[in-house]
Amino acid sequence: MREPGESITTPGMIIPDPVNVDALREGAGELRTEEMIINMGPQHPATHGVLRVILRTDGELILDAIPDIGYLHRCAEKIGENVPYTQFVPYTDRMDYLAAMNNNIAYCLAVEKLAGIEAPPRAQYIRVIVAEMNRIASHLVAWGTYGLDLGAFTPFLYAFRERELILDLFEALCGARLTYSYMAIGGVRFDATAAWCDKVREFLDYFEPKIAEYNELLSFNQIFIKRTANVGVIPPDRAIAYGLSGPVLRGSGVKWDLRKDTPDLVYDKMDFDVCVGDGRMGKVGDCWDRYFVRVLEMVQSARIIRQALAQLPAGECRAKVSRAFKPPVGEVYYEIENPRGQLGFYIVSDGQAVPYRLKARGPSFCNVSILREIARDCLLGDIPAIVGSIDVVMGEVDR
Amino acid sequence: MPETVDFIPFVNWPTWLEGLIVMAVVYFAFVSVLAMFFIWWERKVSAHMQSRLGPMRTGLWHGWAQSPADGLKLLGKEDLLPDDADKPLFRLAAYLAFVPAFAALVVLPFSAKFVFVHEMHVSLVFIFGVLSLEIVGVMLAGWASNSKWALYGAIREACQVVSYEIPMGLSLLAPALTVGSLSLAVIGANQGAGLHEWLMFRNPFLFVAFFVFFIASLASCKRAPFDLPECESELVAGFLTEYSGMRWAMFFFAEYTVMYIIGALTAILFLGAWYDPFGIILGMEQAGQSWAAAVAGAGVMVVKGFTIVFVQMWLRWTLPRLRIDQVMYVCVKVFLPASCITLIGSAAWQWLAGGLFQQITQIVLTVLGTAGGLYFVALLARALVKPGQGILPTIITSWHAEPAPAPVAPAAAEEGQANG
Amino acid sequence: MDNLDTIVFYFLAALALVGAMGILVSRNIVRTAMWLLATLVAAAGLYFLLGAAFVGAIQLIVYAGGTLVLIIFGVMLTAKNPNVSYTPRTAEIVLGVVLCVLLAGALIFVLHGTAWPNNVKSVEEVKRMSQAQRDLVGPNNPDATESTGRRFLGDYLVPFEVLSLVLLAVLIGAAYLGRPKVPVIGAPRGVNPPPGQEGPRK
Repeated sequence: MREPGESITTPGMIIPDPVNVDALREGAGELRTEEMIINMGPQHPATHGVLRVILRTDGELILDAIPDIGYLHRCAEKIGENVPYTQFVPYTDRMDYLAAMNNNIAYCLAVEKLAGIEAPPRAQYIRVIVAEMNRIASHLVAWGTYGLDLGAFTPFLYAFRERELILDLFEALCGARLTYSYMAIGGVRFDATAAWCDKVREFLDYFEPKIAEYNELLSFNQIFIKRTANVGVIPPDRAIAYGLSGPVLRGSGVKWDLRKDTPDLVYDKMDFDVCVGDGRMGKVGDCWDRYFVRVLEMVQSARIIRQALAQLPAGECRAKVSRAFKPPVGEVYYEIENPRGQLGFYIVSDGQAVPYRLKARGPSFCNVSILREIARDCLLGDIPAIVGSIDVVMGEVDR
Repeated sequence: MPETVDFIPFVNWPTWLEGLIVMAVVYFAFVSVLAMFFIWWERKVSAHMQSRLGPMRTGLWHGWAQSPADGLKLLGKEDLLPDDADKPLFRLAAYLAFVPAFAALVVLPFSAKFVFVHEMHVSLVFIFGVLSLEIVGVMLAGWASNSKWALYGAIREACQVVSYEIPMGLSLLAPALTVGSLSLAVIGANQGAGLHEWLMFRNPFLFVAFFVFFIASLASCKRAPFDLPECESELVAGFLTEYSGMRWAMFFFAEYTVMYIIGALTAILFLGAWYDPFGIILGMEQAGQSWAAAVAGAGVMVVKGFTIVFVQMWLRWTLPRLRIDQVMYVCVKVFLPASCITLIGSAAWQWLAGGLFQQITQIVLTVLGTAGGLYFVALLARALVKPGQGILPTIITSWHAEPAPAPVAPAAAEEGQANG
Repeated sequence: MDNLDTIVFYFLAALALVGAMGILVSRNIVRTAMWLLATLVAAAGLYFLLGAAFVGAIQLIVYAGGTLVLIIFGVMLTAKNPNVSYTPRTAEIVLGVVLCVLLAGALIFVLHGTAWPNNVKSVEEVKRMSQAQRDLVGPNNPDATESTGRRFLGDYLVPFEVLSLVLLAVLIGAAYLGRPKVPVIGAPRGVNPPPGQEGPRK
């Protein structure tokens, strides 16, 4: 029996690689146990959609966890090479469906950079506002489902209660509640009214005190801490080596946020902090750190929204762009900070109305790649904790 | 030994067959109604804790008919049998889980006069023994399903319940030892004089034993945060994965019945059984109004039992789940020594303490326990009274109260049209 | 009333016998365990019928738990195919039959040879008793548990304690057999034997 919270790998112990385990077990004597291969997913309550994790288990001990992706593949990139630039925006909604606004923005900024279009300042501010609102909504889902993964059902409904308000606001803004297609090349489709802005402020007044309630309910719950601290630790160097980004990278203590480091839109005019994991409950980069980075980021997003609302300039919200415009020959790669990390679009134009090549760099896709490394030598109960703390959205992993 | 009146004194019935049938019907009806009420109640409790309303439409008042309606639906569902399951055992498992819960009720007293079916001198041991059979059904369900997730659930259940039975049994012996009887009727009859006479407040060891027993009982009836055998996020549904329809419902009937049994047992062993905190019912008994006392006592008993069930629900909808190694750690390294100490301690207390010292201890513990209880009541009251906590924020209502949705600016509307 | 007792008795006795036969016939280890459970529960039921409620309840606690552990071993040690079955060899069958006959003979011999104390009633006697008489030995006899306890910790203290020593020896033996002989992944320090001192390998 190991101490709760203590890593299963004791220092100085040599962990045999998978092949050697079998060889060792052959001579294990009377009480020989057998390994079991078990499928977690693609239909499983804890894998957030259709992630399939092939687990090699010895009792409750996980010897190996191999993520298997591709169950939600919809050829999004190939579609992008067959539709005009403006028509691809709705497809970006369906990649990371929990952060459709951010996806829209990433794509539009990439195309704008390719075509040399500049969105008017008001559009840029509105983009920041909706991007941060969507970040809050997305982190709320991550927060709520994380509680659900660990067996606490109530946070999930609290998270959805608050997210509902954001969705209401989005609905008032653009008519859609999940797949917004709100961004247009060169701006936003509809202007935000003063009444809408007031509602956003009202929402923030309501929402900000709730975060303390969340911490009381879940973050600092002893059972929760015991379940997440020191579990699934990603050291900073491994995080960088795997190309992780977003809260998963920052949870490992790496201060890297594109909003701060390569500010696009009007993020350079905003005052906010980049939240990183500090190993408060265990080692730096454990599940609790990744989780708590998201909670802290909700506070920062609320700060950004308030500033953006205060600075919101008057004027046009959309530059005039022809619907079937043809960008000059060239290529562009542009990435922004999506709730899950760096979402980038690489677009090659051959001067036609449709892109020659379109490639998306999805943060969930890169983040899920570390699962096999950190989900080894843990217990079965840690798998939902680890998968949940990475917060993958399969729509974007598989695209 | 107090005189008891059986609810269903079947030995005196003219023909045993008639008695048997009546007993079975009445008994089954009672268990079903109890379980269905708890299921409905749990849904309402969880809903109100999660700023929802829960079932509202089935039946006229607050969806009271939801559970019977669900029961009808489950009866009508296809009875799925996995192809590779061990079919006889798969079928049997549901009943094996249900029957012990059923049987444990037999000797459960409701008040000094009412025992469900028959008073037994060793009712405490009987209930404990019968309840320990319930896991066989669960274990068998997991194994016979021939599913890996179900097997995980079964093994977890086995190791969890087998381990927790020990601290639960030991902490249950402490009050029995203090009273000097294994009969629930006698244990209950010893706590009538008021709050300070409740066994929980008799000595510090019993005070601890109460908490050990309550938490261990949570684990042994697999309620959150110890619901590892069926934990949804890890094991899909654990041992229940392959079950559907009425067989599935049987497990829930068993679970909720056991919840009440545990609640009633806690009340009898630690919380003054069927007596109120002020000694009123004891006064009625002494005044010779034994029937009135019995009826009032049964009411008190039900209130206490339901309160503990409510606390079980409260915990379930608040806490995350432990991991299996933590569950075992808590059992072996915390509860097992604690329960041993409570047992030895309360035995020693019988010997050593007495007189003024005993009285002072009882008063201090009573004050402590009452303060703790009141604190939780205050927490609940705050949650119910304070607006914005668990109640839908006003922003929603104000939003929908607006006559029209925020109009889209004309310029943007044009743009929207232009973009089709 | 008499009727009911008789019927319940025969039902329980039949259950015990059928269960015992099931143990012999069944080839699946978990089913064997379930038959065993049926037998043990039926025996507990007989105890209750005889009014020995304490023994009955203890039978449920101890033996039901024992069955459960058997199931766990059945599942854990035959994990290759959950519905595993085994076929005994002829020598095993012969040996088993011989042992059974010997055991049955010994039991019958002991049953007949024992001078039963007066206060223990046979089934027939208990059945003939009135309710009031039955209460004296039955579940409502408050002295039953106490006298059991007094005997265990008084007259029979030495056998009782020796028995618990035997159990302790079994426990230690099980721990010895079950201890890891190769390094266990993830085991805390101290569980695994130091290098070079691993136990015998099979």
